Order: sequence, then structure tokens, then C-alpha cells
Amino acid sequence: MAALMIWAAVAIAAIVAVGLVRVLCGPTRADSMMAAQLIGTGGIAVLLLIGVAAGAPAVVDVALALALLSAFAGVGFVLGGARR
Amino acid sequence: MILDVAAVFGLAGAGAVGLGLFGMLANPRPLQKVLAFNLMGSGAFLMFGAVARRAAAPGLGPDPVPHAMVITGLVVSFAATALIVGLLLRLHAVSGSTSLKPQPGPRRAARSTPASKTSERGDAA
Amino acid sequence: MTAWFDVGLALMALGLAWRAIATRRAFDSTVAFVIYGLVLTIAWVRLGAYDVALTEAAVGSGLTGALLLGAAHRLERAPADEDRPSAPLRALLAVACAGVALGLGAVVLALPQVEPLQAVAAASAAEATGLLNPVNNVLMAFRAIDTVLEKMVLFAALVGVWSLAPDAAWGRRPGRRFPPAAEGPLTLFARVLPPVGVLIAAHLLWVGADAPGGAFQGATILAAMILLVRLAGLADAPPVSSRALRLLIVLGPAAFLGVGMAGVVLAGAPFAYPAAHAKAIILVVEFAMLVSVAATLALLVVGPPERAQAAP
Repeated sequence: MAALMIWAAVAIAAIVAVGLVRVLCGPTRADSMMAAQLIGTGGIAVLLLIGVAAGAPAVVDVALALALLSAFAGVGFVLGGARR
Repeated sequence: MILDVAAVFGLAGAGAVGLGLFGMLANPRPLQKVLAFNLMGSGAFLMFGAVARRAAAPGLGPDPVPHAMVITGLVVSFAATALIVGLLLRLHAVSGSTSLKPQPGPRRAARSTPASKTSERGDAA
Repeated sequence: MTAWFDVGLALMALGLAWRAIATRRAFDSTVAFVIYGLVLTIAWVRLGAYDVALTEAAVGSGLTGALLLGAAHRLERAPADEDRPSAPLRALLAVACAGVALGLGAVVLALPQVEPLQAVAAASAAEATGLLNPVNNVLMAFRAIDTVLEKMVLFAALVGVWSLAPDAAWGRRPGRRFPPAAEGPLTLFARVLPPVGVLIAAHLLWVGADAPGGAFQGATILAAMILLVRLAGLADAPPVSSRALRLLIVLGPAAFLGVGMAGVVLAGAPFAYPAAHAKAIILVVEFAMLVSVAATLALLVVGPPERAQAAP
């Protein structure tokens, strides 16, 4: 089961990495913002998977904090850069 | 040579220190210099994390002392960054530029004084 | 398999670090830096440092990102100083910096497998404080003086930032004013998210005794919520001359210092806690620090007072 979760984490990380390359090359600032949101969501998934695989319940708290902060980062990007 | 998790992230930390150092020296823009400095700091923290991992006790997890010091370090580097950014914004508000080069302002003023005197003389004549 | 995962993660972090220093626009650099911080969070989890992962996500990526993004936005119109070092000089710098990185890398690979002395000591001393989280034991008990000094650094940085205010704006509300947004997603978001954030901050403070978490991580979440409410224009920061605000900022460091000095009388040494009540005392100090640190962090991001007229 743990091995399956690690595999899933690797797959998600790979997909996020590929998406990240494309989005970071994007011409507008909205693309950069999407990159941050992508890694936020993907990162939460990876954290939860490797946390459960490693049997470390504390990782759930890390993922929780990340979820809250990536929502905050979205607002920061919109107000700080993408609006103009 | 076994490439365990500590070695991999320790090497990544070393790489981040190198990249941050280069960015700090080679990039002319002050804000990106600050960012590169933060990058350098995070690389050093990562190397510290590798050290903590090396000293892991079976069943107890990594050494907590480096972890506590990294947490303290992250806070202190945030405080320093906030102060530098404040200074930079004030410099921009006062001088209209973020250039770190010595401003030619006073020297130009000194040079323009004789010029204005001659023009005054010219007016008087 | 996990080794490949780690290598991929490390390469991703280095790629983002490269992008953060190589792009021209400050905005793009900052975005790359924020994403780099998120990748590092996963790296810290892989290293088994859950407390550091929380702090990296919250401070290293979140608050530093907000600070740099705000500055990049305001300096966007600044005339760009294109005085880059000449190409040969940059090549020389690159070689020198690569040398530094390679040297550090060699040091990492040469690290010996040491005997776990400190981990065992911290774990065996857990009975002294009643806390099971070894990192918080180190922060709040064994190296408490470091933690007090770190709070003093935050305080000193805030004094430094405030002292950058122009004379005309001194004593007024800090930062720029964000006009209240029309009723919409942002306003709704800024009303719905903070209660969740307060809950998570309290949770992190409470579990910090026995599991990863703690006052500082909770305070950062709280600071992010304060900033969110401010960005949405729902509330403004109080004037820096406000006595209540200043008391709030001093409360945490003062409580920690006071308890630490009281240790001389009660437990025979500075920053020693009476064993019977150690956990309760530490939790009270952590709560005081939670509020003070949250306010200080938020104010550091907001910046000095700069509005010359009084805000209506």
C-alpha cells in the first residue's frame, strides 16, 4: 500500500513538474499565478500521499497549512500583480 | 557512495547556495539581490537539514536541535528581508530610483553653481 | 523509487532557484521563489523535519513571498538599473560560485554518520517539560534564550521598519490604504477564510506540544489572515502610535522574558520551569507569543506609515 502511494506521489509530482515548465514559460502574469496554484494543489496531494506512506500523521497539518496559504497566495497574486 | 535522502537534499542545498551567491553578485537589481540572498540562506538551511538527518536516532527521528535552529533562522531571515525591503522602498520614494550606485546629485549641484553665477553676471551685464 | 522522487524534487528546486535569479522581471523571480519554497516544503517533509516544513511553507514561501511581491509591484515603474557586470566578469563569478557549491557539496558527501547524541538527549528530557515534540522542547526549554532573542530580532526589525516613515506620516496608520472592494468573491473570501485560519492557528499551537506545530507556525497563519482582511479592504491597520497595538506587540516577548527571569527564583536558573507546571507555563507563554508574533509579522509585511493625511 505504501509503495502504491509513493508511486502515486511520484506520478503527481511528475505531472505537476511538466505542467509547471509549460506554465512558467507562459507569456502573461496570469500564467505565473496558475503555476503557483498548480504547485499548491499538487503539492498538497504529494504531501498527503507521502505522509500517509511514511506513517506520519503530522504531514496532514503541513498540508492543511499549505492549503490555507496557497489560497492566500492566490489573493496576493491577483491584487499584487495580475490585476494591472 | 550511497545517495540517500540526506545526501540528495544536502547537495541541492549546496547548489542553492551557489545559485543564490551568483544571483546576489551578478544581478544589478536590489530586489532580486535580496531574493537571491534568501535563496542562499535556504540552501544553507537545507544543508543543515541534511546534517540533522545524518544524526537521526533509530525510532526517534532526526536531530531536533538543527531543526529548531533552522526555524529560528527562517524567522530572523524574514525579519532582515522585511527591513531591507523597507529600506529599498524608502530609497525609491526619496530618490525615485533603486540604484545602488552613488547618486551624482550633490556633485552636479556643485558644478552648476559656477554656471549659475556666470549667468547672473551675464544678466547684470 | 523514493530515491528518484528525491532526486526529481531536488532538481525541480534547483530549476526554480535558477529561474528565480535568471529572469529579468522581479514579479517572475518572486513567483519562482514562492514555488521554490513550496517544493522545499516537500523536501523538508522527506527529511523528516515536519516543524521546519510548516515554517518553510508559512514564512519562507508565504510571508516572504507576500513581502517581495508587494515590493516588486511598487518598484515596477522604477527605472531599471541595467548596469550588469561585464560578460567576462560574470563568467568568472559563475565559476567562483560553482566552486563554492561544489566545495559545499563535497562537504555534504563527506559528512560522517554520527552517533545520535542530541536526539536521544532531547527525547529523554521530554519528561522535564511534559512536551513530546522534541523540536518544541528545544525551542521553548533547552535553547529558550535563542527563541527569546529571535522575538527581540522581530521586534527590532519592526522598530527599524517603522523608523523609515517620513516625518509627515509618523504615528499614522501603516502601509497604503486598500479601498474596500465591491461585494464579490474577494470580500466573501476574506470573510470566510479567517475563521478557518484562526481555528488552524489554534490547532497548530495546541498540537505543537506533542506533534509538529507550535506558536510560531500558528502565528504565521494568523498573520496571513490579518493581511487577507486588509487586502480585501475590510479593515485597516491601527495607527502605529496606538498604545494598544504597541502593548500587543510587546506582550509575547515580555511574557517569555518575564517567565524566563522568574525561573531564577522558582526553578533555580534563568529559563528553567518548575517541573510540576512546565507544560501549562509553556502553553501560556506560547499563547502570548502567538498574538504578538502574528501582529508583528503582519506589520512587517505592511511596512512603515506613509500616508501623510489622516485616514478617514
